[in-house]
Amino acid sequence: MAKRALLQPFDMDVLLARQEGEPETLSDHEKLRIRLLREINALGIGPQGLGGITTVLDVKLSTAATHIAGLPIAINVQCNKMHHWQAVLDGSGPVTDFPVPDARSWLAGLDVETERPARRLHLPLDTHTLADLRAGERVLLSGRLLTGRDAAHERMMVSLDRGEPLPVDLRGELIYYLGPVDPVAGEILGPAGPTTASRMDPYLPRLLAETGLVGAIGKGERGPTALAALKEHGAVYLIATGGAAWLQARSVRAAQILAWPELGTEAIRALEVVDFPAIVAVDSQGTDLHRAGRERYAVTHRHSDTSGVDHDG
Amino acid sequence: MALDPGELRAYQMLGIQPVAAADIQATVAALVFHAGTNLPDDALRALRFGLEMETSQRGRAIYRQLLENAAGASAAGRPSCQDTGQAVVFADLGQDVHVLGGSLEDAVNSGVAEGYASFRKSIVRDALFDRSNTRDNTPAIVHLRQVPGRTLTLALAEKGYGSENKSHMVMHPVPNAGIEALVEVVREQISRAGGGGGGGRPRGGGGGGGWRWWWWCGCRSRGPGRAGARPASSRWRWGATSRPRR
Repeated sequence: MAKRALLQPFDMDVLLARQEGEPETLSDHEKLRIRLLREINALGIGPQGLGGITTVLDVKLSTAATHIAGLPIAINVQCNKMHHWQAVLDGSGPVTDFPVPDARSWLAGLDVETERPARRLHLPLDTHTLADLRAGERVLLSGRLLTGRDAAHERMMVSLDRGEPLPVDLRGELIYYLGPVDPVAGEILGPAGPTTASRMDPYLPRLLAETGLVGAIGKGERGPTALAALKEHGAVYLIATGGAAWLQARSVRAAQILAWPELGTEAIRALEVVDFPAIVAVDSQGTDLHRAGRERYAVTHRHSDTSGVDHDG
Repeated sequence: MALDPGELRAYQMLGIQPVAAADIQATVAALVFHAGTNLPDDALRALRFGLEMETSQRGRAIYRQLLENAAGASAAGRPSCQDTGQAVVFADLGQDVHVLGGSLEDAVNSGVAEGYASFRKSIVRDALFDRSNTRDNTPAIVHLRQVPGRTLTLALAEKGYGSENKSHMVMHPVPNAGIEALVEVVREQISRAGGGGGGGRPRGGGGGGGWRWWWWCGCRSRGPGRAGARPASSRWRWGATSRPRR
């Protein structure tokens, strides 16, 4: 039921316009959707969890019969990549032609906002740069990045448990939580965006303590254990935009599997990147951009007027 | 799986519409590829909506980046995100349709394997006992519903797990607690799930009856840019409850 609701088209813009122009036409169901949207957005989580007033863009609601003793609630979250496409087969053959939306047209009419230029960094990071990075800084990374995600982390723990050397030397390196798409002809690497970092939280303290790793790149906030470990070791956590994998792959100039090729997309790779865009989310002092962003945008009192753009610094 | 005229006539006399399994496979393969490389118009509109609404400059930059990413991926015929998800197929099978030359589910899975050829394979064989990759992104989750009619409708969603891991199911202890209870559950869960991380147990689909729902998560949306000529979208305003604390 939740997944089926997921296939309903986005219409919150229409709903909000109706609320403004003809509020009496809204059903209870629609009013509840709007209320939930506002309640969630008042949390201040924002895009990528960096703080903001748009944590969700739409809320769908679907209800059904249930038992007198029950109130089952299922919440299903979907990312920006709302892929749903439909075909109707009537016996006359396969359906293989679908309209291609013009994504570029949705960029029309946008001014370029003045942003401070991003700081260019060369990998591996030297200790001075590592200590000097500040949460919130936009950076462009060039040099060697190692990749690894769930399965590779699990295997590294097994190696550490057995006292065996890791198949790659992590000293001074950043690890990018990535499971890329295999390249097709003419590509160095397929789309290559970050995966959720918090799944690697249980592994991070040991890697920082025992391997000389100096940081990680992923998406989303880190939990308390990871934050404490980062601070203890003066390590950093950077984020790249989740869901922008095609753009990110364009920064990759070379890719090579270093260990555990049988893990496929989860193998440990070495990437050569040029100007890979990232944001410092946790700096060596332990400052946490996600927490700060969320605190800044969480609604504590209720007023109208949301005009203007905040400069998040 | 072509029918000879006699067979076709026999189906027609019985009021049955044959649909070839091979056609289902080809259709699913095309749906998979198209869904992985293109955002539908309403999803693009939603990103622009987010960009217009968002007051955080960083957040606006993220929305813009996502729109640029979608445009580039579509033009290149490559996935916009490395996670092309698990294929979830909603099949509404007209009760006067007969699937010819194979089972519906097998045909869907063959189409998934074909369609994911140039995408990442993200499915493990068994959630608990064997987390080895099936290497063709099968099996799909197939929700089959029999409906009146002579057509087979296939709707496909590629469900990534960054957002799926933020999902949540609960049997509320006070079933008559009503809407306020629901709002509280939602606030709590989303607050815990946050914007990108989040633990939780993956579970592919729905459960029984009752409340269900989903929302879009701006979690993974982002981009720079200020809306210049604010089009009709200047009407987009959260209104009463959304002023951020400064």
